[in-house]
Amino acid sequence: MNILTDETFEGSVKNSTIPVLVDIYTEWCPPCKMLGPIVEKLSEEYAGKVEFFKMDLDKNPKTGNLFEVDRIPTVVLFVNGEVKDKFIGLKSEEEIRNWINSNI
Amino acid sequence: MEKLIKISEEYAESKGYKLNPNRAIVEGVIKGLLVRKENFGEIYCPCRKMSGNKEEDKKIICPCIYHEDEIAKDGHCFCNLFVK
Repeated sequence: MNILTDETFEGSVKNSTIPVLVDIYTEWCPPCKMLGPIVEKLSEEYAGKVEFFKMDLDKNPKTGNLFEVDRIPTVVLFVNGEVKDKFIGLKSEEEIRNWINSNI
Repeated sequence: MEKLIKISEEYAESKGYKLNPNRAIVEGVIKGLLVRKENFGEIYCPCRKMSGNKEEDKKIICPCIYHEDEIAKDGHCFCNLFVK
């Protein structure tokens, strides 16, 4: 999965021609560590349909502020460069798959 | 790490909670708290964004101001350290 930063956000998310999912985490957040492999697996399943990124919130506070992220993990889905939906906290693979499918 | 686990355990017992039975999760949260203490001076919750405003961030020093409501509602705090 590609890494997103405050510097690369605009180019990677705003200008993407396909939906973009961003997994916002911090290194030492246990629910983030549990969610990470699930999102990683889904990134392979949706290759070519949805672009997946992960972003460390502690290292990239500017983008976190932009989307009012207060808890982590937060997962944001962008369609046409705009926020389509987001969820907070740990979810199952099936829940995330259904969430993506209902938003793209 | 063991000292903070013990303190958290004693706090949980005093409130009628328990620490998460999954030791890996407990150690993960405690490690996160210690890393944030080292980097930012307090044991700020690793599952919440820091604002950078010390007064505002007092709310997320573990145990944070949200944990009681979260445990009542979900059975565990958002970061999964304390459980009912």
